[in-house]
Amino acid sequence: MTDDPLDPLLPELTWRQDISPEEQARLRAWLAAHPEAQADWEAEASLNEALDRLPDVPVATNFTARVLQTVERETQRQERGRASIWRRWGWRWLPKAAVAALVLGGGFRL
Amino acid sequence: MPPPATLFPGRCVIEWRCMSADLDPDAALMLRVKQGDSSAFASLVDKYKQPVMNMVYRMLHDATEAEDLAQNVFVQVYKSAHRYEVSSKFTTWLFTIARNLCLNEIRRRSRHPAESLDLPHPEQQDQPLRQFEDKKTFSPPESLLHGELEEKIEQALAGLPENQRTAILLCRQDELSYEEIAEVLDCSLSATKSLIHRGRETLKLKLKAYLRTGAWKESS
Repeated sequence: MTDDPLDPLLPELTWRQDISPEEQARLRAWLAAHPEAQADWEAEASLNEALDRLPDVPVATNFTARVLQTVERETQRQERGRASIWRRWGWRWLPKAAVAALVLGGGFRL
Repeated sequence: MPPPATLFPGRCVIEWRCMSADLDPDAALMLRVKQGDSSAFASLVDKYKQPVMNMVYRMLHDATEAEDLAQNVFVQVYKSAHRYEVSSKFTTWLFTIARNLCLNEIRRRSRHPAESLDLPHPEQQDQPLRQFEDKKTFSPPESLLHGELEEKIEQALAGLPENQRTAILLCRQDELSYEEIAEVLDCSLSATKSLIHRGRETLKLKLKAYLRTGAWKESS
């Protein structure tokens, strides 16, 4: 593809699907002024058509349901883990924390 | 209308203001997901499962693994919802997660390639324990093939370096600007455009015969 120092953004316009009518007009005008670039341009357009032919990959009908189930499972597992940590360690530290609070509270009053 | 009450009133006010402004629909849904709204999350999954699945499949070249990983993308979205910022476009964030998970899987495969192909199956002695697809000659599942042309396109894409392939696929999806594609690829804008250009030049070379004849125009 020839490089046009006046319009370096033209090639990038063809890479996407959503070029505006103004951009299409700009392309047409540029190609009219540079007929030697027509073959390159047709190859770009053909490649776009080829890429657009790529089919969608089949997605299972229960895809979303399975994602939600996994999220639910993960959430429950985390909650069980937090509850387990509290059961294992919380009761040991609670009386110590109460004593510490009493000591600190008494220290401030003194 | 006053903002809904939560445990974090300061953050709630900011997010309520964002929701009440002209907000991107996906960002609005993600704000609801952050509040634990599972229906909003399901809406996002329904909307983007196809483009995510397309991208993941064409990065991993394995339909079964692609489905598992694509689901994991959305699980990660949910688990990371607290980190989502409204200033960031949802699709940029989504495809960044998807790409990172794919790269992790590709690296994991490269670290654990050694497994004897000849180990017999414990119950079927005449069958190997595992059967592997020949990755060098990537053959998409039959359901994807409408003919030789599509197979050639898939193979040509599969032969590209990952970053070029990802850049081209994201570019054709049109949900992302070049700047956003650069963010997903974690490189500069100019580097991103260079990747797309180099990838397209390679594809044009590999598909030259088909591009020249426009054979698919006759078959469509």
